[in-house]
Amino acid sequence: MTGSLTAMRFGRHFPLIPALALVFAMFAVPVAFVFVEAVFAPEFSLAHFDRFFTRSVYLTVYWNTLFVSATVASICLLIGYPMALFIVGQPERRRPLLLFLVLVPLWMSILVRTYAWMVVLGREGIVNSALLWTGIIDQPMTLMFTTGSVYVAMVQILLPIMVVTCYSAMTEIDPGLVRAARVCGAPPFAAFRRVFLPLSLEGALTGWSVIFILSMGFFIVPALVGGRRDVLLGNMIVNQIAQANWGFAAAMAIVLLVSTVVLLALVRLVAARFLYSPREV
Amino acid sequence: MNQGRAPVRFQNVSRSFGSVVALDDFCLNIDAGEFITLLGPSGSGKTTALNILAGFDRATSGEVYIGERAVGALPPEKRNVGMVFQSFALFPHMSVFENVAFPLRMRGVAGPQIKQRVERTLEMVQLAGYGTRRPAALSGGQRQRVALARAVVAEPPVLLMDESLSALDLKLREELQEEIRRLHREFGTTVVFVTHDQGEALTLSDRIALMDAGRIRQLDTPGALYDRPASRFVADFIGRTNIVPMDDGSHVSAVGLDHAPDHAVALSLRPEKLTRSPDRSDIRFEATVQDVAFRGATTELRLCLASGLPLRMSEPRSGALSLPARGETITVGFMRDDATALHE
Repeated sequence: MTGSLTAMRFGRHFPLIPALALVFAMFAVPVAFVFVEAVFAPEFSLAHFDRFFTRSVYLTVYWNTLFVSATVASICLLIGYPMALFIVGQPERRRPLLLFLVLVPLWMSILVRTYAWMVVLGREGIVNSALLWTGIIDQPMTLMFTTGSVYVAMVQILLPIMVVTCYSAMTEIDPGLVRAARVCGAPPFAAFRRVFLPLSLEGALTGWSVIFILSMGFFIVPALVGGRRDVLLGNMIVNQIAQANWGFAAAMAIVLLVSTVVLLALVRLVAARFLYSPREV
Repeated sequence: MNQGRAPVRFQNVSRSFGSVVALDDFCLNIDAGEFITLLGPSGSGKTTALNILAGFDRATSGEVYIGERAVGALPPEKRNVGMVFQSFALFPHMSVFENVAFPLRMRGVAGPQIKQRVERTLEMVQLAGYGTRRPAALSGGQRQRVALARAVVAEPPVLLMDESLSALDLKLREELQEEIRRLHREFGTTVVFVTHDQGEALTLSDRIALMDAGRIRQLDTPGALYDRPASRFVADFIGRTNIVPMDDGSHVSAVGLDHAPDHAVALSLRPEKLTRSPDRSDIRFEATVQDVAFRGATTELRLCLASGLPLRMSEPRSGALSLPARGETITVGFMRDDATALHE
């Protein structure tokens, strides 16, 4: 009896085994290695962490990384949510094309898209040429290698993810609910604010979190289009690895991982308190 | 309580979607306080008519009036109607109380009054004390009651119901039919009910507009619609019936008539109007029994006329006559007045 029950449980969970094995081999084991690398250098010590949290160079970059990630995620939310709203409002047969247009950039390598921004924002780039030609400016502006260019490129790269996440959350909402609100006496904006918005916030927050996570790990974009001061934690880790400082690089990687997890947990906690989730009963 | 009830008038309303005509010069006058049902198969235009009345859709031509006011160009929130949706459409992120309070909040009713009116309405639908629950924590019938409460709480002069009971199982549906009748009596609101279920329409309505292909085929009280259908379509849609074609002489004589009624293309014979008892019939004919089925309160007989036409007969189980055997030829009759001549 017990034997067959165990067998049944095993049978039920069996399909999970390949995925678990993959996560274990490709994620858990490397992270454990990184952790070991960070605290044994060569014997147990928290020296790397101590160095990170006591030197203002590193702390500045650390806060900058958090700030840039949160800002990029928020800008994506402010642009992506209305975009998704627009697509959901379109007739059903036109939506696939619009979604396709949103997704096309995702199929291009981040590297290619980042270099494309150099073509657009460079001294002799499209923007400067156009402004010079129309006579609005008489000297090329510095658009490349600025904090602004980092934001522009990161938002452009990550925006499709926000649009798609918001879109799928919005399509889950029964359009009858908005009709019901209207017939109950709510003008269009009130129906949106009281019914549609609360029901789509959960999805919007998921999009924000995904983009925040991805931003925290960015290093190609700031390296290619950013200025000297636009350094993210990812860049520092790459630098340390290039200098074979494995221990310190590992410590920073752990800080990055823990910060991301803690921050998202906080966001979830606040969301659970204030947002409606379709899963709760 | 019933301070507001308004007549509703559809005046030559047409609505087409491309080349498809959903409503075709639709005219209907609904009296204040009347319970009217738009009944018809899917695609008959009943939902289009309701959507135009609610403000979710616009007529291609024609006008809709609520009371004396032409509402065709008004958005839904300015029409002051209540509506119960097929899918309930309760706001899942709000409590039962907030769902019911929503129309009052949108009308700017003051807080203390909201509380009082919501609680009174929840009481009326027998959901007192459920205010703090979320819709997801309610059963289907309870959700329907909340939807009903939300639709009537602001006491709109017109209440619209779109297939409002079809998502529920039979027993619950009958229970809620009772409740809707009671609420209609108490509120006195004009109700426009849309359904494809003829049984529901017969139970609830003061009048039924039977629709097909964007037009009203017959507008009558449930009794008249059942007893005096004007066409084959109506006779067939309302209840069960036997249609005996009158253009073929063999069927005419097979049901015991010497000639077809004037201008009739067919005769509608309700199964329960056929009888084997000679003193309750003035027209008699012979038929062969093909099948006998027990249905609880009635026995259903499948008969075949001499002309080859199949007939259904429904007999109360009085036990006065012994059941015929399959293959037996029996004498069946009906009262001449119970047969309805159909002219189209």
